[in-house]
Amino acid sequence: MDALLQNIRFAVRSLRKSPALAASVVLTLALCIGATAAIFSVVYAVLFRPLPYADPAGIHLLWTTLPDMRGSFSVGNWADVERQQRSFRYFVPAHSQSFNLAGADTPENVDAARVGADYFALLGVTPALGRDFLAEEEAPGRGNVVLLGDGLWRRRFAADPSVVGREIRLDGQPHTVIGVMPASLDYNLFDEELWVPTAFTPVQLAEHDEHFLVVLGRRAPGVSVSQAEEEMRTLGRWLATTYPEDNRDRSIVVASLVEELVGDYRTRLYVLLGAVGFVLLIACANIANLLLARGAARSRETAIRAAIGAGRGHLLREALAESLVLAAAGGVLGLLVAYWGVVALAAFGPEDVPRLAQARLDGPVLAFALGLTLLSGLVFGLAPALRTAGRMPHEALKEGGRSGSRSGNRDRLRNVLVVAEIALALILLTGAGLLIRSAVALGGVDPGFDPRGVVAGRVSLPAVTYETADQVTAAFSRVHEHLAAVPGVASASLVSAAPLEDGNSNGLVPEGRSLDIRSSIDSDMRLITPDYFATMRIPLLRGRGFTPGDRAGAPRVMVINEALAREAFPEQDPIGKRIACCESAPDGVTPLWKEVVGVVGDVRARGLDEEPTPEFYLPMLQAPAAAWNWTDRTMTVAVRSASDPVSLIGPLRRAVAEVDPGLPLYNVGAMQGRLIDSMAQSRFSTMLLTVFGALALVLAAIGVYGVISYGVAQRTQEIGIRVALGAQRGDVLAMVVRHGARLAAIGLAVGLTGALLLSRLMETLLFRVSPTDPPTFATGVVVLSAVAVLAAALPARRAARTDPMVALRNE
Amino acid sequence: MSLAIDPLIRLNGLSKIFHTAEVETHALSSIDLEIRAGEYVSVCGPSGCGKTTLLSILGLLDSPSEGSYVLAGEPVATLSPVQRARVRSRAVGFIFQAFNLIGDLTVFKNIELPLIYRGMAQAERKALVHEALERVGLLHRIHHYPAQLSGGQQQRVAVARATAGRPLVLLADEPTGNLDSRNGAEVMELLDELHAGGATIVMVTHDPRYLARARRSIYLFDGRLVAANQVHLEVA
Repeated sequence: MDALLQNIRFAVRSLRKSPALAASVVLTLALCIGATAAIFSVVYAVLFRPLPYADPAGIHLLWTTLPDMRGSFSVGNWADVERQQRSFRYFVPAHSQSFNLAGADTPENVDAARVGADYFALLGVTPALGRDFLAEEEAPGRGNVVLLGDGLWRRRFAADPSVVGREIRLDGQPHTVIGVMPASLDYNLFDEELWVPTAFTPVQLAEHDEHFLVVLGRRAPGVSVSQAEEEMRTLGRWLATTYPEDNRDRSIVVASLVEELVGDYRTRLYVLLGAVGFVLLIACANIANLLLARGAARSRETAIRAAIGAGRGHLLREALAESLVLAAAGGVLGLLVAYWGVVALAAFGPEDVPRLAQARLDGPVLAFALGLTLLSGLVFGLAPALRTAGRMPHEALKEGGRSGSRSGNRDRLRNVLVVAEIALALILLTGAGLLIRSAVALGGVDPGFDPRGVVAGRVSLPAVTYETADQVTAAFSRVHEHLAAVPGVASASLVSAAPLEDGNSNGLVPEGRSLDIRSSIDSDMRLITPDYFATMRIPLLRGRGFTPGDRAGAPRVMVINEALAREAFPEQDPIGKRIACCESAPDGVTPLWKEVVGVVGDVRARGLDEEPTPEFYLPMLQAPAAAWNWTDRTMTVAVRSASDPVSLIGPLRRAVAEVDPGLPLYNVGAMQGRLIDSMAQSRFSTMLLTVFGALALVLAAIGVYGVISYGVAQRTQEIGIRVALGAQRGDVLAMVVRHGARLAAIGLAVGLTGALLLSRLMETLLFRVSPTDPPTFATGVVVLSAVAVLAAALPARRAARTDPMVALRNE
Repeated sequence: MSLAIDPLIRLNGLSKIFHTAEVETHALSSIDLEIRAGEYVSVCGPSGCGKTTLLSILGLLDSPSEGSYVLAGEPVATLSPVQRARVRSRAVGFIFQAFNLIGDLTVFKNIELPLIYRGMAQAERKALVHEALERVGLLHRIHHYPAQLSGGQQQRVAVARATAGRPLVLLADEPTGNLDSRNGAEVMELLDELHAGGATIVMVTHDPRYLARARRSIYLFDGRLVAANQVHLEVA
């Protein structure tokens, strides 16, 4: 311990004499360790922090799947499987729902979930206040109870413990608050803020055709995943056989809950962590080079220490102590950088990344930062320390004598470090370049509609007040009228799901095909008012749009998009053709055909990076009665403004309130902003990787400059000799730059190989760009080559000015 | 006694003054000197008397502050550094006390280097290198590196490098200073042979054993020439 403290004291004293070197090393390390720790905090929060459930690994999401898509459970399917299965201790249905929450404040629409009574038992979470659901509260008419989330309780009820037992109105219906869930339940499937029990009627329990349930299962003790999967496969086959009309070719899949929640983000986050790790490695290589030079300059001192008795171990520990002191200082300062980095990431990161807001400098992140600090110290300190400890003391004491000039070129270790830096920098630059090209490609994609000048918001009608389809369509028609009358509104429309909102999937069967599930085309349904296409500027390609005459009692019509036209009527004119969907005649069997009256352009409804899928539009006034259940009696208001759309938000809210004061207009915002936000993840990753790539470029340039500069200093006498022998300035310049170019060429070759291998890992993050995109790779090579040559040219110019007289001075 | 043949080297009133912020150092003052082709001249004097400065000006590594320098009939005192380098690579061969071979280069490459700077063709360079190495008796070491040679061998390689391009004058700065007596004697033998072959040699030395090898000695003291044996010199 005493020796360790001595080494540290000496290291600090020694570093004080080189304040510039110490400062540059510490600052570089602080920046790089801090950035790495900040990114790790996000990785940990999103991917590794245990979910707020007991034993998350034992919880699964179950899906029913058709050959080409994944789908939800119907109520009947869930009930039948639940009755027969043995693999899961709990087998609980859930689906999202939103409610208008009325109260003293303005009405608010709240995201909620309807869940089975065992939902929280499955999760292993108990309420912080009050009690959980009871089994009998699943029965229809008994389910007017609600559990509040901690956030809603604090926000809406001022964290008042007496809320338990209080009555609140959800969609106008009284519900009793039975409890409040703990703050630790900070991650929920549907981002829900309150829970109400499912209350399936006997009719629903026998329905196998409407698939909207998510099912969660907790494996029973002693049951393995493969056993559970096997049982579900068996039950899936049973469903297909027993209910062929609704379940032919359908099977049941068991998925890990953890993987379902965070799997999509894994690649993106690992790429970012890898990138910032590369930056840290490059910085370590730079620091190692600095310390190697420092070691060489102090070789006489080391020789003297050896001569007076220091063994190799002593010298190694003394040299390592300096590295670790530098690393420790960098690590401590790096925590400050990490803190602000985490704040910035949480503030400016994409909103849809789960648990991003929970990224913080907690125990695991601090442990990571500590480990990283120690590792960095070893990485950049070990090689210089080994070299210092390994020098033959008599060589150093003899130096300055006879033989040929000592060549900086032959310091292979320094050259290897620079080659490694250039290789890593190229990998980073290439990655950033691919994402940038991807972002540019994405920015050039036509969304299929014009979001500029459009503001959108949602209106949900409570079932208790708007029970029948006629009541719903009448209410929405009134909303439409009031919106259109707002001053500044150029065009107002309603749609059941605007672009970028979750739609309702339906199976369509074009006339001429057999009416079964195998012939159906899965398409997204949208109920719209006639002015929707004009409001959103979706082009009408063939036929006509809807008119006010397309209402209940009139011939049933639909408009389809190009994708559906291609799939349903390949190489044919779809106008006048008929499609069956969404409803049947009172006999329950005869389909109700709808005539295709128009074809509109494809809209990238699921995001700019997703290809358009088949979609069809129905006039709101011809909406099938069941459609209002599918849409939760919710429509999106889409209004085009003659001026700034955001300025309309207040008047639009008031217009909706004029129809019914209990109806909030929620999720309101400019459509343009929503489109931009939909690409937030891609934009954020691109920005971060570009910053890291630029940082790597700067560090690599500093590395090349440092090595070449050091080499020039070491070769001063040699350069003097060459000048004395007749070398011109150009000869010296070329010699030095050639050295730098050689290092760069090797580094680029290694980096190119690495980039080709690693870029494939990014394939899922790219849009219309190949992971081996030649222009991107070429640009990275050219940029790094130019930077390396420039970095070598500066010391080369200095070398070219060497006074030949140094050749004659025998010092 | 006046010189009947045009000298290879003629210095008239040559001075070199080094300026720093506070001090003006007169390294050389009003040197008049003539050296004929084929002469073997030694330069001696106490430390700091200006020997190296004189050698550097003769070798066109530096330029005088005052006076004239004519080399092979060409005035070279006021040449630019680029012009000096061009003349130097053609006309001057240097032999340094510390050998100053380049450690990364083989013997062949070391000797070839000044020929490359002169822009010679590869075949011609190769022939001259072989000839120079043969002259110093080290052809068998052609692919070795300096670190693999003894001190004496390294200095002989340095001599080969200096003579390969057949320069007008050989300048040797303490060529035996880093050698033991046996190797030193070998190198001096070599210089004798070169002189016998017609080389013009100017050598700085402290060693009294080797002073007398030269046909003429020049003595410098505080930057000035003092009378030397066997040659009449004008002292300004």
